[in-house]
Amino acid sequence: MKEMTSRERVITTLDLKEPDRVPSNVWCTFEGYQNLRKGLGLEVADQYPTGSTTWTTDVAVEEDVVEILGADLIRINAGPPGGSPGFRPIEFSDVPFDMGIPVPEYGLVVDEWGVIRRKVAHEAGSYYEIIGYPLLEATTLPTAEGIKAIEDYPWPDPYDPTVVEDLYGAGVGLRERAKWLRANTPYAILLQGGRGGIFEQAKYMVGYAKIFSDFIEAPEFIAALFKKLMEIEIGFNRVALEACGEYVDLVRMSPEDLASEKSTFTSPAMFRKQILPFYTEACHATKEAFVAKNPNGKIDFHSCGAVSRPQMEGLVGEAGIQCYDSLQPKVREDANPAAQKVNFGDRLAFLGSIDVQEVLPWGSVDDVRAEVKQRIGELAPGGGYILTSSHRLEHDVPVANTKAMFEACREFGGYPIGP
Amino acid sequence: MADEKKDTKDLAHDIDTSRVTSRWRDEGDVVKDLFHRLEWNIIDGEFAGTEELIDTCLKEGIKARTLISGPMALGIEEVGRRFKADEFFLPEVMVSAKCMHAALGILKPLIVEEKMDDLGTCVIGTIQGDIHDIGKNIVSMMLEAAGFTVVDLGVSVPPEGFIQAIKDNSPVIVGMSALLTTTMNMQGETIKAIAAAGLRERITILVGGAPVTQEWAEKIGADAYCEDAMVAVDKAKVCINAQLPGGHPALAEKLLASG
Repeated sequence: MKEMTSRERVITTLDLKEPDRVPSNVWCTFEGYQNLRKGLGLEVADQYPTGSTTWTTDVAVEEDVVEILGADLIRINAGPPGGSPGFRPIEFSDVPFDMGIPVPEYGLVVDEWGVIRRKVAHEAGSYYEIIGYPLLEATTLPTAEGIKAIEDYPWPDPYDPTVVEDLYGAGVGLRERAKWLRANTPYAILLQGGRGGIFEQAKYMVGYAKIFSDFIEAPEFIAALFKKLMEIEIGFNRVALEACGEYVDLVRMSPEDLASEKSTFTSPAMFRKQILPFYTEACHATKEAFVAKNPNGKIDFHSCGAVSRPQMEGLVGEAGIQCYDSLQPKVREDANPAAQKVNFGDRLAFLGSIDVQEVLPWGSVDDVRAEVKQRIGELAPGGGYILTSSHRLEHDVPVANTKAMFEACREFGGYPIGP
Repeated sequence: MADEKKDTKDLAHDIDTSRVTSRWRDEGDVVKDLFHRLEWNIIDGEFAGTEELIDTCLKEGIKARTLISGPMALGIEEVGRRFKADEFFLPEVMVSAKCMHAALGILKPLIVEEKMDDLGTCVIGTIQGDIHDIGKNIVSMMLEAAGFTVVDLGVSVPPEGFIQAIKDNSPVIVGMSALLTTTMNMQGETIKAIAAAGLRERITILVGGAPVTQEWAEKIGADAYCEDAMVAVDKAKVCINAQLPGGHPALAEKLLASG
């Protein structure tokens, strides 16, 4: 087969047809990205545009890295309403709600959602830990008051012009960036407009410890909160797509997490009744906005963990997702990559799957090659597989392993690929 | 928040028709019925009903510790079984845990008054640098339900915190929880510090948490790896019965056999 451009390769893959070879994507944390650039002999900066502040760091990987590794996608994000940076310092005494912490904390930051985090350093780098949940108290109020608290809350505004005008605080607009990428690079473009999500952002507003029991004890509050978050998610996606949709090939909804490695967070019935309807409306509205600009545009949905068959059936069959990431391999067997391909491969493309929990950070180059070969064998037949790490590459992944992953993708990813 | 009490008529009917149990068969009918309902209220996370039932039980002269180690412990064990079997998920578990926790809150002060022999003291905490505690809280609660006195040190507890608590409380068991691969090293460091303070042989050390494994527990010199709260209670009881000093190889054998 004649060699395709990166963009053709990705589009063919998402159309569930076999391209010339398996395409790939680069996905890093901030420290992981610095480590990767250094290992590739590229200059390293102190600051990089981060795609979304809500999930610690999610670097917008630059063209030179994508080119050296031979990857096929490049990612753009909407910016924080009110402009960069997304995380701003806040004094303990200025936090507008009681965090339930008796002793003052220092080095706190607040994001556009009002969630409070503190930086936690460790040997491999650092991350931001949430310590203040702005709507935790509201879930303990009588229903009507709780719902009013949701209505009155100062939510981030997706229609704030900085969302599309001030990407990365560098004065670059989303449209400008997308247009430049389309004209000057061969890559397919992945857009993430959303900056929080629905169930996911609700966890940050209320806290993990409370939200699960709220499904049973405060279902009207949860429904009102999910509805509000869904509206904001749709807003961000519409705004971003209005700005640059014609240049985009794949839209990623704000990442959600529906399961641990061992089981789903809720029962199938609870997922169907209290969570899925919001995803369905958000995905449909996003798809509508997308196809108005790119009739072949596809929707990608993320969840870590052991996404169950009933959950995926709902996501594919009702919400209409067309690609699923990041396909964590170390999950219970009936939800692992091979199982997802068998059950959904005729309707769903996959992005991810190369084990970042053990193989990439601690395996040898040969272990990485074996992992890539296995996942390609499981996921690539018939098309519909874009290879990347099963989550962001962190600081502790040896660059030799990252390079090996992309090289092995070339080596083992040429079609035809048997099962 | 649910403004009204859950409708307990359906629950009562449900209990009568479907949840027959042969437990408590040696008790009289009144007590049997109370225990039965208390057990099922825990499973359903039905706190309002539980509070009333506890009241009635206490008025019947039933001891707080009997309630905790009997119907309440069995109720929370059933919750654990259902979670493992994919019948219950986090929402159901959290609601049951809250109910259990609130019920323990009522009964704990009464246990102190009762002054019965208990199984011994457990000191438990999440290790330094780690603020995760949902699992640890469930373990604490189940150890209490099983008859231990639990001293919960909370989260991000430095080695010195564990050491002081051992000196202050003379526990039989010390439990350490870690959720992160980046902080679990502190389990090993804490054990070293306890040994350096000359306290290792007085206690048996249980470790748990998402990244913890049997291999890790052996590597850092813990006595037992506890993959979930129910295993923690079982192994804690094995430790008491074994009456071997902490770190003893025969103890490790017994614990592996029971796990």
